[in-house]
Amino acid sequence: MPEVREAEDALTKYHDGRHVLSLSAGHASLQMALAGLEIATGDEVITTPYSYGAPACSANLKDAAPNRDFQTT
Amino acid sequence: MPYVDSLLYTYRITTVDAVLLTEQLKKLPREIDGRRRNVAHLQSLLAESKYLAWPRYSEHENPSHYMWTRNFRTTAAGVGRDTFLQAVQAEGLPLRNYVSSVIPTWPRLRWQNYKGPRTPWLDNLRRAKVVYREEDVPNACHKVDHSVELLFRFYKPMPKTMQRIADIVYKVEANIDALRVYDHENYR
Repeated sequence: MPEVREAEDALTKYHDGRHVLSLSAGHASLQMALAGLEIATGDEVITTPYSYGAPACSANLKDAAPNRDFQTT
Repeated sequence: MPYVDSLLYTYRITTVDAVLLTEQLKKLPREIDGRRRNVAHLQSLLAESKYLAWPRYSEHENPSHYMWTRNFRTTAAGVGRDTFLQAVQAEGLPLRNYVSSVIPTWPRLRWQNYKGPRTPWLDNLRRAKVVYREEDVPNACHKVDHSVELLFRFYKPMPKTMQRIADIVYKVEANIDALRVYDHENYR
């Protein structure tokens, strides 16, 4: 889609040339990031419990165990 | 993908969203800059606040302040965070706590004896034997108990609004003794 390409080009420019992939939701973005890192069964994903469910649920959808506590500002 | 249970779900952005994104991106730097200026002004106005502490940011962090956040000094104030929020809200300031509970306390993430609608992640939790209720997350709990947030939709210079916010905070802090009595009678 040319409109999507145009938006991604604009975001690439905004982020000083970094690669951009525009996705439909934050949850989808988290899943893609985990897939890109090849997170799979047996892996542990460290995320924040001070949030909504998307980070932990994304890790669960990849069969990895999410969640540990850390200092929150 | 096996864990996507809807044929309607797409991972890619829609063309309508893409067009909106392209246009809105043009004004984003200006709006973020305006928000940072307003936050800086508000921070200077609240420099004498006794009970609202500014979160510690590292030198590498430069928040855009989509959400203006402070930490309420519950012990120093002698009243609960929720009592303080009620008071400022009564004065017209929509300050609130954005995250009301930590994830490990969420009932819908407890797969043991769960009888409700099936969610995509419950089987994964059951397979991984993840028991959230046994997770000890004191730092996150502390943040939930002390954090106060304001959705910061102030892009243009708004010194009068910032002054109004600061005035409300100082007014409530000046009446903290009355709040302590209220807090003691209602919550302790």
